Amino acid sequence: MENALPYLWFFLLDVTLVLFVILDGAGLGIGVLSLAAREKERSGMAAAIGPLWYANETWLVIAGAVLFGAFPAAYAIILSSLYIPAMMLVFGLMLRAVSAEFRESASRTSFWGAAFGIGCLVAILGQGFIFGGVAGTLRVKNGSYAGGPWDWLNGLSIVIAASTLAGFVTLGAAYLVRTAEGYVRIRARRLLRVAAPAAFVLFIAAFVIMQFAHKGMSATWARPPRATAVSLFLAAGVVSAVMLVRCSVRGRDDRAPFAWSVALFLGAAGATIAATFPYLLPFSLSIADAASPRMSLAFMLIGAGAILPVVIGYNIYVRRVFAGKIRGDGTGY
Amino acid sequence: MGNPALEIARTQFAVTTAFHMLWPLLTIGLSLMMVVMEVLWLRTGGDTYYRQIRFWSKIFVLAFGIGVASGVPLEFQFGTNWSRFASAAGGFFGNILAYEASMSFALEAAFLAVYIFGWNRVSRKMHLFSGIMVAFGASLSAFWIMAANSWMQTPAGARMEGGRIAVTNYLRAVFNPDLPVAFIHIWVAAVETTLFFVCGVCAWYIIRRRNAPFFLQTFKVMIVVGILVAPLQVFLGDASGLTVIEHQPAKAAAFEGHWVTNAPGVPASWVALAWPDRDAQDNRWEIRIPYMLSVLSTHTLRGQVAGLRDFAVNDQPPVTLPLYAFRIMVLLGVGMILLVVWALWKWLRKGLGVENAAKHGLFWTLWLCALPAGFIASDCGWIVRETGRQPWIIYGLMRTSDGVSPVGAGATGASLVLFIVVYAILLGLFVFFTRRILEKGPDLASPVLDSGTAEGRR
Repeated sequence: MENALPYLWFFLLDVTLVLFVILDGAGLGIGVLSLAAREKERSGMAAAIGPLWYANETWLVIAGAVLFGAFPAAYAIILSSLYIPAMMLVFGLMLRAVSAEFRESASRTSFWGAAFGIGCLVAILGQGFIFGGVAGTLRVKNGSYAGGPWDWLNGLSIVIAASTLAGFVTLGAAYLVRTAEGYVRIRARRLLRVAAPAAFVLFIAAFVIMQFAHKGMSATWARPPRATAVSLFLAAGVVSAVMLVRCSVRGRDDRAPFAWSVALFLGAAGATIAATFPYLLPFSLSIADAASPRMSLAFMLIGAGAILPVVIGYNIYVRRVFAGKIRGDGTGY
Repeated sequence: MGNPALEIARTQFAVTTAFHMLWPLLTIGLSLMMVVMEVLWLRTGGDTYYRQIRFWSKIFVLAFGIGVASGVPLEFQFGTNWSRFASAAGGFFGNILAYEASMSFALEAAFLAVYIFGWNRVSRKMHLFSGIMVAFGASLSAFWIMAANSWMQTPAGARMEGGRIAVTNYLRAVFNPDLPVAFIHIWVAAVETTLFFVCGVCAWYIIRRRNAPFFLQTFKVMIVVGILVAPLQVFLGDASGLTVIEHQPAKAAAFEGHWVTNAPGVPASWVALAWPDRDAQDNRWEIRIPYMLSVLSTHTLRGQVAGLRDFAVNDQPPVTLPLYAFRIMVLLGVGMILLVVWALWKWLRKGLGVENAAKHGLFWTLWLCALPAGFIASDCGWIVRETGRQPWIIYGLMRTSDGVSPVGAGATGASLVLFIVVYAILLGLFVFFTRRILEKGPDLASPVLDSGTAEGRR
């Protein structure tokens, strides 16, 4: 039982990260799309993100704190080795937050609209390079990072960052199909046909590069249960990508694209986790080694773990309050 | 100091925390104020209360946004700049941050959406409930942050084992000796800071002879709160000081500029002002008031108070900064009490009526000038608290120099410059947009939302 605690927290960490990527990822993706949109459409897009981005960003704060509390060794290594991408994420989110805020009261909305989009773009790239850095090889000595400040920038991390960007744009476009109307929705549909396959192909490319970067990855295919899990997740990804393109071409159901884009993301995330389990940092730091003392994991379960279902519950309520199509002019709320 | 990366990391944490804490102070206070007004609105049906909420919530949203924007970097900073502290203490400190995030920040952020944008979508009762959740979340958040911070001051229920913190008793670690008074002190500081911010805004309008009845109403409510809170803060400050003397005597000696322990039976005099010199282990000059340090620190005439020279030089905190920060905080605290008392006196003499209020130019100018007083006092208190803990990151268990990341000074320095630039811009924009909200003034014309509203729910 006690030995299961690190894995339980690893699962909860994945849940919070997945919620963050799905909920806030869509918002960030829309922000990037708004860079290419005209001023009139921008207000509609901003309304699609609506008043929920604080609530969505919560999941990043929770995920960060869970990583800190449950896996302090990994938290310390990841953030100090990926200092620059972490700062990109932080400053990007900051720019997004304040420009969303000031846009409300500003007279020059176009300026703040652009700042909003740039903030989203920088935040996504920061996350992409964090994913990329973690997927690569970090030089660790005595539990501390021993590499240079730019080690995270390499072929693998660039491919992963590009895949993350395409993936978030996919989520954003699919969310727009779901919530927006008129021209914004039509354009979002068109974009999905490009962005979704791009995200998946880039992900596969990254997955292949990882096979060469890590010796441990070859074991992926040696053991049958792992090979099966990885193949199933990859297959789910392929199916989702195909279905996503199909339903964005047909365009009858406005809710289907977002559901498939979530499935696509889950497929990719699942395959990566299945291939590298039980490692938190692939093949260098295992979940068990990174974990806090068992007592501390149990303590955290009382006040933080047990409350997560409640948090999910009231977030569903709040989303329902603001559910439904928004008008294109952005006065929906 | 030898390690430039350490000094830059410390500066970065000081700058980002000092800036970040301003916003929770304001949002904790404003959220409580708005809940009180909403209850009054639902009870009395007085529409002005509704208009008060709509007006102040605009400033609240602005402050909340900057608070989140500047708070997220803090969480990450433990990993980027203090990775060795993070991996050693994550098993407790990180747990508490997870408590904070999932118990309180999530609550506040989710219900804020309903509270600010849900006027047309939920019933009045549900709206009030959302407001209460926002206020509760904000205050609970402060509780957990103070639990984490006070544990760094008085790390009870834990010991160092092989370079890692091992918690032996979680209850004692959370409810460590410093927590109760530290949390209440900062929570009351949030109320008092907000009170002076709000009253400053009221003064701004009254001096301009705009919306005087509206803002005199706010002002009077605030004075009622102020007469309770401002003196209370002095008692809490005293209680806080006693905790420090008991658990962190070196910190108390530092902010009092007290170098030599007084001999038994000899009263310790209080340094009103001084210029400390660490190398000489003495003050270069000083103004002393006899008996007062014994009275302040032990509540007796001749009580003994430990001096800084009792501690090895490399265990001594900096002296000049906490000494001056402490005096500024105390001075502002006293000034705030005097101002509240003056307002009450004026009110009792019927000087706060709509007709004659604007006549008292000096009174209102002082209130306007006092608008940032709470922010400055709170930041000074924080400086005393944190610099006084040095050279420890976890008092007595881990030195600050052992907690810093093995990251070069270049990356930390570059991000420090970026933080300073961005925060300066944020502060400027807050002032700019708040001024715009003020110029526009409260909306006294549009119809009050009917209960139930759009969907007719009640």
